[in-house]
Amino acid sequence: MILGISLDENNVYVNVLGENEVISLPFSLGRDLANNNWFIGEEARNEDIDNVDIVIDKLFYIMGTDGMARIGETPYDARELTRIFFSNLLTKFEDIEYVTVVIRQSNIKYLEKIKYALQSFFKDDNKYNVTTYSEAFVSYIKSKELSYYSNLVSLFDFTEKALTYYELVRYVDDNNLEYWKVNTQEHLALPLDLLSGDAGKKVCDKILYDFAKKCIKEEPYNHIILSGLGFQDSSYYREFMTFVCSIANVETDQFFFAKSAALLSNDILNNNFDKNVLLITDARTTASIRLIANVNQVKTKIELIRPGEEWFNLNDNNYDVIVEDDREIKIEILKVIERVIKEVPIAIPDNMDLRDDKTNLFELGFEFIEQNIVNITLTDKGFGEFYESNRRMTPRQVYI
Amino acid sequence: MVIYCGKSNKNPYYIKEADLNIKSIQELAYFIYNYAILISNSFITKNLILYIDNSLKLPRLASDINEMFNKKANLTDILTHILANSNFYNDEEIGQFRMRLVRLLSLPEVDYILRAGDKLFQLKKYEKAISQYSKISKSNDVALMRLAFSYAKLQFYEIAANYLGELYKRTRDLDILRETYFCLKLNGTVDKIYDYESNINETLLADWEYDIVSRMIRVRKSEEMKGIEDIFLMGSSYIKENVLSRIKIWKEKFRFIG
Repeated sequence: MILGISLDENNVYVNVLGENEVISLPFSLGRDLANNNWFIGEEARNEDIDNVDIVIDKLFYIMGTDGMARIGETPYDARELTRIFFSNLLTKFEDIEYVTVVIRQSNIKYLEKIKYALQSFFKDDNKYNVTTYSEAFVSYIKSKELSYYSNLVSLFDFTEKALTYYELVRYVDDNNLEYWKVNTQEHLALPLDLLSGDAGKKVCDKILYDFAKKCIKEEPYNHIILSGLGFQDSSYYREFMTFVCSIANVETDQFFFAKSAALLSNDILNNNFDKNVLLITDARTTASIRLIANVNQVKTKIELIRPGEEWFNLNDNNYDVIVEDDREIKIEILKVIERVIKEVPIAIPDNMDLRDDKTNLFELGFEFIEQNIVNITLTDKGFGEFYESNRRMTPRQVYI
Repeated sequence: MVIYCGKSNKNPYYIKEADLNIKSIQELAYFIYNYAILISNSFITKNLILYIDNSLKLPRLASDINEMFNKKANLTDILTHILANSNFYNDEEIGQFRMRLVRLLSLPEVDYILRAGDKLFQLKKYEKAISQYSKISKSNDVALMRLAFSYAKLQFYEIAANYLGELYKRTRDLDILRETYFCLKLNGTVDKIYDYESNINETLLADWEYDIVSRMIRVRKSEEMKGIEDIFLMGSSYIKENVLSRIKIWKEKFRFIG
């Protein structure tokens, strides 16, 4: 069984690859303290109504704020609550071959907790993937014929809290390298509650129309996809619909991301990725990070991080370097799309004594905080058993 | 400019001659360059070649060494080839290494052993240093003194005092007698000093006692002592973590002795 799961602020959607049906449940967790059972989704809420349980209804919020919840006498942190939720969710499915979970934002706080939950459940890193909506969007488009995406393809996602625009742009550079780049634009101030009255519906249609006018370029589009709960009732967004229909073919799928996540699972399982295509989404790095170093007495630029790598899945991103007498390490950041090169010197602090026998070994570490922010650390490693480390670290935050 | 060493390698290679683990080609090169006196023909082994190939991921260098090894090439040539392919030393440094190696090989045997012992002492491999100094300590005063100091470093103060006392009898050097006194003091058998010198001036003994007290005051005010006190101020989990790392170091040492 190959699964795709999408999360938004309030709900979880699960799709089994090849099935049209999507299971939708609230992102809630409850516990029957008397019988020590956990419940998820509607079940958790029903137990709350019966007044026997503790329910956590703001799990997404807790995940994003590293919050805690006390259940009975036991405090649970966000990571543990996420683990319990996913464990209970995945137990409902048999023989899971692979699962991809997608969220809207490329926020490390959510991604780490979901990864931990899936690792705890599967105990095998090769059975799951956690990424963003943009990646699922690409997998959906890849599943189509070229005529579907020969021009631009865009997507409006209207969830309970946010309206977001995605657009896939394809182009080929001078070196014949093909780029697939997903641009996103978010319009946050559009709560779904607005649709409760006629006046609200009109305002909402107007906002959607203005937003679409702002996002859609004067270029040919093949398809426009409408996704999310906000597009479920098509009666209110006539002006918006008229506009998008005048641009391209329009298709609506409320559960687009869960289904596309299942397609992405399938792509990963079958390694269905074209090495000649450089994919740039909010989940991937947009820059090449290079170290300017001496290799066999020749000045060399060594690529440590490639553009198109998933920045929050970069593991073991530490490299050893030996500092000679310059008291600095030079990093070069090449922004591949803008073709801009930035040199970033990382200085060794004055209070750190350097030895003069070429034994100043440092660990150069990279940790992405966001797509365009990377923490670079330089930690003294000593030199094997010859010199002990003083454990001093030089952190530096670099904006790409 | 920096030297790029790649990702850390977790697997160590044990250099028997120096009781030392290395984990990178740079560390191996550093050992060859600075501790060549400890290297004999048995240094180049099939295990070392396999380590360079599999753990250090340098198949070309491994293949070169293997070929030289099979053709029974000169040890100097093999070591120089490793240095030249270590991404660590430049041509000038390698030239200096070759000259130093020639000088080392022309040393008289006693000097050679003494230097080997000193290099091991410098690496804090005192057991290995003892085995070198012992070879010549009967006829060489410097070796006997360093033999005693090696035992003192291992906190075998009684043995250290015995060797220092023996050296004092040979040299009648009061500085040596003072070191003997310090070792006996640390061993709690200070009265044994009269076994080595029955006629010690009381003022001299008072000076040595003053020296010991001054050293203790200095030690208590030292940065290291402050570091240890800080560990205790950090709370129980921090103490545990630091104690564990120290126990690990101690175990490694103990296992070697065993």
